[in-house]
Amino acid sequence: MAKIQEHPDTVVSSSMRIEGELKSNGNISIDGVVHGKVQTSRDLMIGPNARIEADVNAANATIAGTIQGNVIVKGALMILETGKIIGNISCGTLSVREGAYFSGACKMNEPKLPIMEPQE
Amino acid sequence: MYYYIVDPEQLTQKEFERVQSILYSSLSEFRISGEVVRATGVRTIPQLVENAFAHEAKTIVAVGSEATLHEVINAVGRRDMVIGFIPLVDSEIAKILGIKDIPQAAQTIAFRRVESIDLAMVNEYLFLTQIALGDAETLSEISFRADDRFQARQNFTLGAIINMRYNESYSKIGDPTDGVLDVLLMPSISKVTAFLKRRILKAKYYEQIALTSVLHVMKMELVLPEGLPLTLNGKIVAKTPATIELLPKALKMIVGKERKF
Repeated sequence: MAKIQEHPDTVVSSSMRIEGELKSNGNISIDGVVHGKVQTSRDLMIGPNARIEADVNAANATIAGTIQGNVIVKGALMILETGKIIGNISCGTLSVREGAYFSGACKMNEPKLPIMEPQE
Repeated sequence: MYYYIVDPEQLTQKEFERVQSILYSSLSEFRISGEVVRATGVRTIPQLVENAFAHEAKTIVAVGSEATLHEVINAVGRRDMVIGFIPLVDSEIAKILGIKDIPQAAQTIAFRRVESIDLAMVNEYLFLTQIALGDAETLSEISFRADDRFQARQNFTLGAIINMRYNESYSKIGDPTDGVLDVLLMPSISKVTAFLKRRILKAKYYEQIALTSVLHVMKMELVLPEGLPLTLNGKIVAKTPATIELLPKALKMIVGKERKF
């Protein structure tokens, strides 16, 4: 089977502006502006100065900037104090710090219940 | 059959005679003798590469500098040929390929460990290493389209588009087998930062400078600024607008055991 090549981290600095689909097999860190779509099979970090007008898809995400769009995260989604999400979110686990802003619907994966051994 | 193209361009006659003697004894020691031809003003590298094909050579070995290797690669183009490299001067490519000196390079060729590695192309010019852009003094806005998926803009002073790079410590950037070009764009930095980070800047490890953007693409069409020189080892190979593209696994290269990828 062909090996899936993991790319080095992608960094969109504060002076960069992207329009379109930003896709990677590695971690993505954004401090600039992205309009379109952001997708990674790894971790996503949205910095405090970032402005994202895009649907976002990642394994895990930490949000300190602004996202206007739907956010789908398989694992942990963390919205920090400066984070702002206007859109629907879907995630495995959610953590929201005091001061964060979120407006939209939230759907979380139901945790699997541990299998209990029958008591004799 | 091995076809050795020797390019003494960067050597004096005396130095060349010395390396030629080491070369012949190494080729003989490792039993990889073949046709050895010397590039001159009359017999150019592209002509010699055509001769190699005419002689049905299975391997062309570039003996000289990185410029020699690039010239051989460009003359071979997309045709099927295994390429080897014996550096006569200090070479970053040799270090990446796990080659140290002439005897060790000859031994590497004798072992014939062939690896398919990525090649990159700026307009029609093929390259192995990296294209440099910008100068530390001028802040300009770069605009490009990447992989027919997104358009990016950024103010930058220095940048690099990397297929292969020598890294002093572990880095995923510059791996010629990862199927992507690494794009580094550094914004303007203060003179103090430039002084403090001078070693990083000299090695073009721009990703270690704060606020540098790092993208990974297969193809980019550089639109703006118009007329921006794109250089390879200090030599201008194209000017914007230009297209830079990765050709995955396009080069069959003889590599050493100690290669860096």
